[in-house]
Amino acid sequence: MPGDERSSADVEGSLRHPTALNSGGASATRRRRRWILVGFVVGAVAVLTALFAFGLTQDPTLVRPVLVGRPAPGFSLPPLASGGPTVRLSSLRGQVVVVNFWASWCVDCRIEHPSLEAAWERYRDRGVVFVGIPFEDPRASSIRYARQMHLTWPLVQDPGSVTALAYGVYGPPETFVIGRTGRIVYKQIGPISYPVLTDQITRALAEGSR
Amino acid sequence: MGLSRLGTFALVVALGLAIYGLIASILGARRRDALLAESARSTCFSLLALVAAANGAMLAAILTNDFAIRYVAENSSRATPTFFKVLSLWSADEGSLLLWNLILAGFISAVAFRFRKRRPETLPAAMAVLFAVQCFYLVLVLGPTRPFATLATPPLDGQGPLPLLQNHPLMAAHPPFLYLGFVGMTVPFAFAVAALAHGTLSDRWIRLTRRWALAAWIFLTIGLVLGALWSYGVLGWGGYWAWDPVENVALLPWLVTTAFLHSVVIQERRGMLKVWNLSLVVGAFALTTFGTFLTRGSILSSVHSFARSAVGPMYLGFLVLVLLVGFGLIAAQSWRLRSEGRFDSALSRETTFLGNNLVLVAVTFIVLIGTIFPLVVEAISDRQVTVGGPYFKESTVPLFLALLLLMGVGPLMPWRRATGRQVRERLALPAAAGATVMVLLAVFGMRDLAAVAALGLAAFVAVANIAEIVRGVRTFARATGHSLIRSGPTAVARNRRLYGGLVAHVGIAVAAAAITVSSAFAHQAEVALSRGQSARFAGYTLTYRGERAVRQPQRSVFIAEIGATKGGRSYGVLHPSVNVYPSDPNDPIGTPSIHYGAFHDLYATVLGFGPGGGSAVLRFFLNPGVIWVWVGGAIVACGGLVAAWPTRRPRVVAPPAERRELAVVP
Repeated sequence: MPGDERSSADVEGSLRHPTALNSGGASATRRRRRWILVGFVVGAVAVLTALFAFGLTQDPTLVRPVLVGRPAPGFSLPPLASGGPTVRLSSLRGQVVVVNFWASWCVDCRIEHPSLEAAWERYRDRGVVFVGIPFEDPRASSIRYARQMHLTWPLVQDPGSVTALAYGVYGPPETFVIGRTGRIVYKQIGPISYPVLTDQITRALAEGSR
Repeated sequence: MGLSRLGTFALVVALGLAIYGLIASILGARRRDALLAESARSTCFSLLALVAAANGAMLAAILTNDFAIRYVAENSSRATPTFFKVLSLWSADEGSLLLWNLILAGFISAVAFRFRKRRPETLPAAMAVLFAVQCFYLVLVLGPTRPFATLATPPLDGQGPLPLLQNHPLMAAHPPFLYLGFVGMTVPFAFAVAALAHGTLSDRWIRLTRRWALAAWIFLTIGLVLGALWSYGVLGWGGYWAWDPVENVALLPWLVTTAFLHSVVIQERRGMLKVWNLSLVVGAFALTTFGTFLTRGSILSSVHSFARSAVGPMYLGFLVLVLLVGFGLIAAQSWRLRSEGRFDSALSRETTFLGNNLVLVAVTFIVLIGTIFPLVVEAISDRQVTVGGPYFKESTVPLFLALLLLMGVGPLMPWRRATGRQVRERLALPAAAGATVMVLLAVFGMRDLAAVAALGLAAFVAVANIAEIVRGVRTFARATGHSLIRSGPTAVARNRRLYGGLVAHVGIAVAAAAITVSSAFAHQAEVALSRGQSARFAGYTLTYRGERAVRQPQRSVFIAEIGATKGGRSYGVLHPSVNVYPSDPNDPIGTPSIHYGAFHDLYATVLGFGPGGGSAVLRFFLNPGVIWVWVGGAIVACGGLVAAWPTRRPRVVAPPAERRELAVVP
């Protein structure tokens, strides 16, 4: 924008220079053009104002759960440690699936671990599957973490973070509760607490049986 | 209670004075009433005293634990060490606005003092602009963001400052310098708007404000470097720049001001780029306002944002006013601003300066777009996105490389027109140096093309600019018949701006090389170790010796002891720690431990402890060359100081003056 103004002024300056005779006409053109420029500035500022005014109506700290209510993005992921099963989301239809994105470097994942563990022990035989997906974590570190924390639910690897991207993971820990019909019913960013998790699982179980 | 009243009273009177100053300046300018203008000018000294008193009242309240004032209760506590208590003055929104007002009042007084004897014609109008800006910030601290708001039932103790902000002494220096840089841009803006409003449109405003812009630029440079240093030493992620929105908005005015400092030379020498320079100054100030709006108006989320502030609309209104007045005046007056000269040749210093300007403005737009892009997407498509480091890196690296090239070529070019031979002669040595570095890197197996190019260009820039300094001094020595050493300071003193610029270029080259090396060759690893266990990392053997807890009045610190050896030689003990503050027990703050070195830093953070400290999860970084980022930044700031240092005006360089200049060159 400033560049345009400069070049137009420069071009006019150099055009005007040799012919002083019709300077009156040129000056009038220039005066006319200034209102175009002023209009341009006002227009650009108006657009910016509208944009920022819109920004002010939004809460920047709130990340809207756009996926809630939508079908969960499918995945078929290889096991984290060799020997485990490959996990395919579509084959888990009919069960409630809790997808947890975590990382060995993530402190909050350690904090939420007892809640996950307890919920897993309570619901593992009642039609609920947990799937742990490491996020941006070297495989060896993930395996070490899993061993250290005694993770007993299915753990997979997500090469290239493709699944994490599909789920719009902002930063671990993030937990998704997927209902029996394959729709996401709940999303938690940050460490999940035992009451919230069990409450969401209970609801998801109830919803499907109705 | 008393201090709150005193502070509010001082601010109210200050606002009254600012309004008086604004009106008297405008009337003085319009009626050409020198007496009125003079009364406005002298008003600002009392204004400064009052704002200083308000800051003093807040400081006293913090130091005396006056928790009846909400700000004190929220940002200080009895247990906070005195040093960090003082920092509490600017560790949250309301208090930092007090400091902001103080710095602005300080700049206004400095302008009034600077022009106490010879008053430029545009001074009253410029003072009016300055007073108007001060009015806005004073209204903020009296209305929506009140630092002196009180609590009906004062708590017995305060919450203490945000844990992150009471963890490192650099918090003492980073915000004030940044504010000095941000607020300092008000002065060139004021004189630019004054010149436009006056319709005098001579180049006088440039000469009046060039050094003010340079001063703001130096402060901004120091503020940015200190911020990066703080991020590196406190946040524990091993890096120093994350393209966080608030980092970006501090970089934007720096980029534009850097462009201005170059293009202003063309206007002074050749009478060209008048509209462009006005646009840059208005743009730089608008960007500082935008940065304030972004940080304090709670529009984007960032580690820096003061989230609970509800003053967004006021900041937005002010930003719109700045944009409309600034660019509107330029648009309305541009038809009168005719270029006096033209570019004579594609091969001249002018054209490299122009290239530098275009690249810097392009970088500004790229960073600006990346910063507000999430907002744009959300506005038009109702989706949320974030823009991360890769966008900024991939889109700006080629431009930064082009900038380096211009930084090496530009100073070698003569003004107006260069001959091919001249250019070849002067380019030979630096080009050879750059090429040698690139070839050596390639031979040693470096395949990262951008990194090879960056390091080669950095060598090119460093050699070109040092050679230019030497050439200048040598020419001067030959002309005066003195020795090289003796004529060095005098030669520099005779053309401070040129030599300051060359020194700054060398600093940028050093920093660019360091940034390249640190981002291309860093190693990191994460290990879980039990007590007594060792891990090998990048040639070091790192042993976790155990955990130690230290209870301090304001926090509990859990320190991991890590012994570092390399090839049997001890490298001392690293002490990364986790700090738990009572105000936020669920959010422990890590403090990295860094073994600084000339070639690389060994950087350790602790992610967590096992039961009883029997084990620890640790992360190590080996960051090569980071220390040279700070060294480069310091050289840049020194270059700025050389260029900005005031020159007395004895036209003849007399020997006593020489000795004086010698003493003041930093």
